[in-house]
Amino acid sequence: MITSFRHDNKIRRKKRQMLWYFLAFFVILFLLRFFLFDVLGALSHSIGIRIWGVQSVFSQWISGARMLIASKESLARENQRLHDTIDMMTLESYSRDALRAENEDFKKKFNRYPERELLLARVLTSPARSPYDTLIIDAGSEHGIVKGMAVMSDGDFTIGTVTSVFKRSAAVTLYSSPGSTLDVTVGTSSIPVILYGDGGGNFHFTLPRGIDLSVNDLVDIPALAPSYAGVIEAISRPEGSSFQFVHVKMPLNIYQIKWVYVVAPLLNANARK
Amino acid sequence: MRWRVLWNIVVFILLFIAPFWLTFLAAFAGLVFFPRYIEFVFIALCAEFLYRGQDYHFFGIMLPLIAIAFGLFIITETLRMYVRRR
Repeated sequence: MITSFRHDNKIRRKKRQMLWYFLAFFVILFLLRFFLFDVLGALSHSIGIRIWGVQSVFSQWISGARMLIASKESLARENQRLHDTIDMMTLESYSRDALRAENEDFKKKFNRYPERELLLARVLTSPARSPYDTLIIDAGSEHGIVKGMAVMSDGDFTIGTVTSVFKRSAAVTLYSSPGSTLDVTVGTSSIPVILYGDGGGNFHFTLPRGIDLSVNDLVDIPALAPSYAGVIEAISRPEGSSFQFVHVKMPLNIYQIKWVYVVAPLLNANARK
Repeated sequence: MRWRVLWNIVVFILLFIAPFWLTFLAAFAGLVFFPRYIEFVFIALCAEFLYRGQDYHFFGIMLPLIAIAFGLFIITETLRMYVRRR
């Protein structure tokens, strides 16, 4: 009996403790919401930059060491594969550059200048480390970064926007982060759709079945300068359904991305010319 | 106590350098093995500061990670309350 009484007392005490935890939790939430996010965010980022710097040096050293122990045969194979890829990309780039120049000339004829300033930034952490599908980049307010700037990768793919800025770092929330939406256009007739983020560079959207779409079609972000959200990876048209379910993917491995461009729009570029 | 401090250091370092699922597993192990492991919520707090964009809402929730971590902490402590140990 005594043991049971003691146990009940213990439970009562613990319940009181829980109440305190709840109270502390809501006070912390309130402080975070209104006061502390900037200060503590800057503090954790300043610690993070040092750790990520050391880690970057180590990972470079490890990848160098791995190259040393790789067999000659596998290196030769890799070399050949890369040569083939470069040849293919060079051929494609001729027509791409010509088309881009033509497109820009055409816009200039109508007094529209699709200009923007790009700032190169190194990716410190990939989305794998983040629970929110975010990248941390090594450019911050010191480099002129402000909240809301778009972030691009090679090939005119816009991957996200800057959502937190600190002195020497910034957090970039990817368009593909779960819960995010993005207005885009698809198909030859530029049909507007809302793209829903699924995480890890993946998206989905739904359209009526009659609209003609095909795999590898680009998904455009409406803008004066070329800007894409991804390419259509797969289309599912279930029998009996009047909709088609489209899966879109960024054509790059978002987990291995090393460099990005932060886009500073030249707001008065069109007025100046 | 010594193990707890060591474990906290490990989890804190993992938060910066490891994939998030690994950090979560390590922190959850701490929650299960150590009594009143409020550090679990603190680690979620650090993850929010480090990785969350300021205006980002996860399906309308402002600080989802802290909310989830606190929920798990309360559940674990409630279960622990009713489990008698020798």
